[in-house]
Amino acid sequence: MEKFKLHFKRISKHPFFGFVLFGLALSLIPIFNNFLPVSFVDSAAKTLIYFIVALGFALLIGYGGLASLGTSSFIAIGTFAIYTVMDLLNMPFALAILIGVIVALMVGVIFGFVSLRIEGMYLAIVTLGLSEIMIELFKNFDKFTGGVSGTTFSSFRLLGQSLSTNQTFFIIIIAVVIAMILTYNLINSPTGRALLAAKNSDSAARAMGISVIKYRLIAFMVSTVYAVIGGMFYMAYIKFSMGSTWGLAVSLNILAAVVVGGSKSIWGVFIGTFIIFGLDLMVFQQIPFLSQGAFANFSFVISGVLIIVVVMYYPSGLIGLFKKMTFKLKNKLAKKSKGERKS
Amino acid sequence: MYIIELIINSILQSGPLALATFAIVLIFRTSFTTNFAQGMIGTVAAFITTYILMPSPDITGNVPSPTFLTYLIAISVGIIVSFIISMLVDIVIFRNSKYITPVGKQIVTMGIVLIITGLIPFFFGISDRSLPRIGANLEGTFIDTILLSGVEGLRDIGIFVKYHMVLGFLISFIIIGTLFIMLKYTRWGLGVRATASNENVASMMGINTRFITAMSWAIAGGLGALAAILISSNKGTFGNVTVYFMVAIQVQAFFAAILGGFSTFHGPIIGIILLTFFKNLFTSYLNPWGNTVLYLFVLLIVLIKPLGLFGKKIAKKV
Repeated sequence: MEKFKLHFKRISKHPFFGFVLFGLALSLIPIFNNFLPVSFVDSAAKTLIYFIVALGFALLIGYGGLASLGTSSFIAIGTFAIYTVMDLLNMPFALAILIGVIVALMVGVIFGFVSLRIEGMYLAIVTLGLSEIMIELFKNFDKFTGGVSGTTFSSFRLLGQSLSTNQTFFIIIIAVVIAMILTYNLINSPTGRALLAAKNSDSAARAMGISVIKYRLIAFMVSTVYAVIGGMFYMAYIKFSMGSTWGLAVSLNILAAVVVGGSKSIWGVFIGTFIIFGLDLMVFQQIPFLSQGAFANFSFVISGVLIIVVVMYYPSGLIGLFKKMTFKLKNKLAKKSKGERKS
Repeated sequence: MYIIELIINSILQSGPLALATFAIVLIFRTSFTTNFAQGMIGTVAAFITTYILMPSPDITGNVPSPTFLTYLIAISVGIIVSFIISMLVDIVIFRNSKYITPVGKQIVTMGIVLIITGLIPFFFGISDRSLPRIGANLEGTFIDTILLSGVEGLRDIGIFVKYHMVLGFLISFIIIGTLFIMLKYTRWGLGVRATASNENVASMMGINTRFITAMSWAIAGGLGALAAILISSNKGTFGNVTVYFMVAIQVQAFFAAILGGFSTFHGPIIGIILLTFFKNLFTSYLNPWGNTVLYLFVLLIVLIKPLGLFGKKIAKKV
């Protein structure tokens, strides 16, 4: 028993323990599916999908120090890639991932290389242009994207079996946990450290022999791949995608989620995604007064204000604020107990 | 003959776009960031103008037909509001965050885009609005006679240009010309050039960089507003003012600035004229691939000349 306790203690210290526990906690949602309102389950799934996308984006913004406005286009590429491969060509999911990732990497390399060669700031401009082009392309490639009216996905198949919505939810949770672990590893790898060095001082990093453009391009590529995968799960779960919905607003909200939560921490990104997407989908959209008419985009105002406040006063995001507060609280308690002991 | 018509129309079209481009470059030079909220702040002005002309939008297709004076007042109010919003962005946000990185500044402007997107339906309703064509109410004045004779003179030699486009171009031309003269000969212009080359040294030399930056933001806001109004007038009349209508324009302005190079003021202006010409050329021959080819074309040029066609290499000390 004692041995087991010790063993458990060692496991619980492992960084992945939290991620797996988080996944197990999330799987309560599909298990108790019948007792929960449908809208809640759907919004939880959407939030998790955006969380995958946001994790990739966090690497770009928190470690690369770069902003991109093309995220939504890459999500859209994911949705249409899975539709084309699985519905039109009747091929397995693995091939869909492969093709989606290849397309995203190709597009990303073209736009990323040109802009990052000049200066990090140009990436946002060029990707804004990319999202403009993409909306037009989605309209014209109506065979693969359904054009203006969008496409409906028939069913998500894995290993030859078509999965129900609930089963897809489990797959999404597994994907979220894998994405968290991969991101953690990437952050703590030489690549992550090189990125951080380049973010803090471009010239110093270059002097230390780090190829700044290479690592920045890697960060951008990783964020596009995460976005494409997120898009695929979006199509697998929501089963509908329309080119024109993937505009600037989605990209900006993902940016807001990452910045508000804290772009350097995986849990921070989750908090941000939950505040920006989760609260909006689960609470605001359910209130008829707030979901229709003039107030429909009111959540944008909240996201915008949060972005500005966080960038101005709390550069490490809400998670940084929490950490600071708990640190202060601990200090206070420690002082108190010290004082008591003295007297 | 066709190519001459295309060139002339492209130059006319690029007038209002040049205003938006100039505004972006002005902010880039003084605040070292790219202002993504430029288009949105301009959109606010267009919405305010339509609101003054017609408080509740008519969905049946009627377009307001104001007199010259009311239209002028409405446009002025719109421009002044944008001027103030843009100035407040600098004074309230950027002045209070000194150690913010350029990308952090970009993110702040993206936050402003989100705020304005959310607030527009709240103030102006959810339906699209209509802005009447500029110059529809000039009949009988001397400007009208000059313009009409010009348009008809061109028509006689077989070149078709539109009346309101000529007017929009003239307004933009006068304003950009004034701004270039101001940059060259006024204290503000000297301050802008000094701030652009080195902010710290400029402030040590007695230039009020805070005032210069705030004024640059304000002027950029006003320019963006005028661009939005002129462009919506070029687009058509009914339902020409929507929440996202400036996004495409802003992309063009940014790409023009990249093409011409951010480091000079005249480069981006030439860039936007070239960009508009190629856009019209590509969209007439390569539809529906026009825009895609255009932007890839710009990226190709930037790949060869990373600092743009007119960019100058600025050496930086570590």
